[in-house]
Amino acid sequence: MKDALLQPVPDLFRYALYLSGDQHTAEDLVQETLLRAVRTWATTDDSDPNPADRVRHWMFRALQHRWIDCLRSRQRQQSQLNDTDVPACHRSPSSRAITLELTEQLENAMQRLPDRQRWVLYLISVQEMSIPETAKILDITPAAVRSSLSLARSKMRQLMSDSEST
Amino acid sequence: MPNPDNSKNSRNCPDLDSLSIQELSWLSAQHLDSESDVPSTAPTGRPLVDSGPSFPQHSTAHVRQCSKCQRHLAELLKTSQLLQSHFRCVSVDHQWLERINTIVSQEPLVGSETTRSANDSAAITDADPWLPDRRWQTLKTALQMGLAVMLVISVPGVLWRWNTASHNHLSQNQVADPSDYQQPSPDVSVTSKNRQANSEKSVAAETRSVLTPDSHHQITRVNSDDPEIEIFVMLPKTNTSPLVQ
Repeated sequence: MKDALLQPVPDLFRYALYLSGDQHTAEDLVQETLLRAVRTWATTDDSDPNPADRVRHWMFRALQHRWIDCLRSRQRQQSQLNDTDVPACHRSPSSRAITLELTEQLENAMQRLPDRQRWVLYLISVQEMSIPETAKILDITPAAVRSSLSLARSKMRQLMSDSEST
Repeated sequence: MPNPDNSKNSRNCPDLDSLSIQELSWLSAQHLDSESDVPSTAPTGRPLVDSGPSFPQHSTAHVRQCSKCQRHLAELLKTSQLLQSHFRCVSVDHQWLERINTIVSQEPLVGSETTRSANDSAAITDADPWLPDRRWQTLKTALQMGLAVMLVISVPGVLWRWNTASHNHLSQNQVADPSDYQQPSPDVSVTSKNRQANSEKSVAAETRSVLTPDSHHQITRVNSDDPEIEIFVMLPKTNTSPLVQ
């Protein structure tokens, strides 16, 4: 079971980094998710022949929930402390290893999508989650996933086209 | 990236934009070799769990014949590959990964028989938030390894987590003087059998007894949105934290 818990950690970290844009926040998100997973999955029946996929999806979902909690908490803090410098949700320059122009354009375009469309596009395109898996992680219906995915791709095309023409 | 001209499909073209990578891969394989068997896995090896049967047969036939759809399909897959290469190249800190692996490997799984000591007669389940002694030992290990430890104390439950040195969000919280915390009283034990019956005060006292600061660590009391939740954080002092060195 511990292998199943540790296996998705690199992918979880990348997703957390994508969500938060900050390495330390991403590490915290993964650690908290991992702890929850340890507690939750400890009692899982060892006879489960292939727990890895179930654990992986559960952990992505837990991380997504934790991130939403984090966002809400930040919003509360920001409203209480109007002039406080709360860490912004942007990608740290050090987190990028490749600076290819096209992929940067793609990422920039992704960052301009609404949250749900952005998350759906990442989970589908980067993590190769299926429609039902993505729906579970984001707590939305499969139809909503397809709709968001279609809108996201369409919007991406438009944004990329705009960036090429400027 | 697909050309914008391709975004407006004809009336008969299926909405490829709403398909998962597995579905797109499946369609692509159908187009490349319509005589071959349906692939059971995507190019990346992931099973095609939601493809094929859920995709209308007439749409599959249409894509095979429609050059516009085929270009659109190829461009969607190419874009996905670009995104994957871009995001998957993000390196993960190996030292952090090693710490995670080490600590999780040392972590006794809650609910398993191995976590129950002889004095711990009550069954420990997920519903029982109290933690056995070995978990406190794990916390100490984490501290020794240079990880800041964050405890989230909730009444009547206890949750805990560890944290790295990223505590910017705590900067405006009130820092308590360690002398505010009393020494543990002899009758307060972390492994008290009747924990569930403990009052809020004794729970807080127990917690503080565990969080005895030393010269290398400080305790921070964090403001909580929920008045029923008390949060104490034990952090390595900035100038002594191995993470800062």
